[in-house]
Amino acid sequence: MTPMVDVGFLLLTFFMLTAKFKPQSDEPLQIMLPVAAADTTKLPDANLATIQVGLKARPTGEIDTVIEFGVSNEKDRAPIYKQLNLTDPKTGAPLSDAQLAMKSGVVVTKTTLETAVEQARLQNPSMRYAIDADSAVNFGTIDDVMHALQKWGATRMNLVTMNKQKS
Amino acid sequence: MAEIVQSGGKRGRGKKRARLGVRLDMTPMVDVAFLLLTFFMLTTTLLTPQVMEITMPPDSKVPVEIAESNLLTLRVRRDMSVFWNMGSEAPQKIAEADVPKILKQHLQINPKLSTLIKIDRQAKYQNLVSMIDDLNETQAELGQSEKRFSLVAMDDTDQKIVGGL
Repeated sequence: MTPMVDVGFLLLTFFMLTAKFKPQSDEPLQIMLPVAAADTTKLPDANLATIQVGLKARPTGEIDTVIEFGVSNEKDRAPIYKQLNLTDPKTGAPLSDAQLAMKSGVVVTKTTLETAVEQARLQNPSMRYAIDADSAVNFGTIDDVMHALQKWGATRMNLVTMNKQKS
Repeated sequence: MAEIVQSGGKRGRGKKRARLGVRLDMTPMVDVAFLLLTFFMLTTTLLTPQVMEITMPPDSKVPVEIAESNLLTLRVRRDMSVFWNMGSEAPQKIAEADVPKILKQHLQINPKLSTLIKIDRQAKYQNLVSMIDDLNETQAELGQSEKRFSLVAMDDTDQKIVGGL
């Protein structure tokens, strides 16, 4: 039994070390990534700002486009999110720095996205920007997001894609 | 759980002895370890998403002049049909699967070719990614490293050009 236990512990250590736990954002978006074959770059872990664009269906059947702005570095979160005047949905009180630092992403509109990008550029100039959008989102929304990034000089952007299986 | 097996109980009582065979029951520990192993195995996602890096010019208001013969325009209409043309030729409809073929053909003749991608605001994000992907793949296939393309949303003039086709 000893060899089996040895292997078991080895695997356990491996999976424990590779596991990553992400705090959930307010409204996790279901994103169907677009497929692409030519990309080989991987998404960095640190110094990354992700703009998630997803689709959400209302009970009435209409589909809304939701934009979420998220910062990977916990220490950068509070200073950036603070400018967006976020409030607690229950009490209406402004969120504290500690509460803001817990949020991996916040919902933004087209206008507050520009503020968020501006703050992110000021807070951490080495930040990289990724657009993580659903493949069925209208190009118009993506165009707006790209213009917001371009406006504040974040001209290098990463489009998150899923690897197409080559046949 | 842990049991001490005493061998030879007849020996002198008060005398301190080196520990004899101590057998530990490891079953619970192994159970817990495997439980954790299963948990971590199920929760890890080893697949990190891929990214497609694109660089945009810092100020889009500065016009870039380009020779007509060096410009290939790809337009994607809101119904996702793709049109292509060289310079100021009339746009022609092509199937999305044939885009790499056209690109390869023209990039092979003219490596300095710039591609202009125009997409309707109502078209989907997948269209954008497919176009850039086709371009990247074609350039990689031909061994050309420069990835020159511009990306704009279709305006009214473009709508008129490809609207009736």
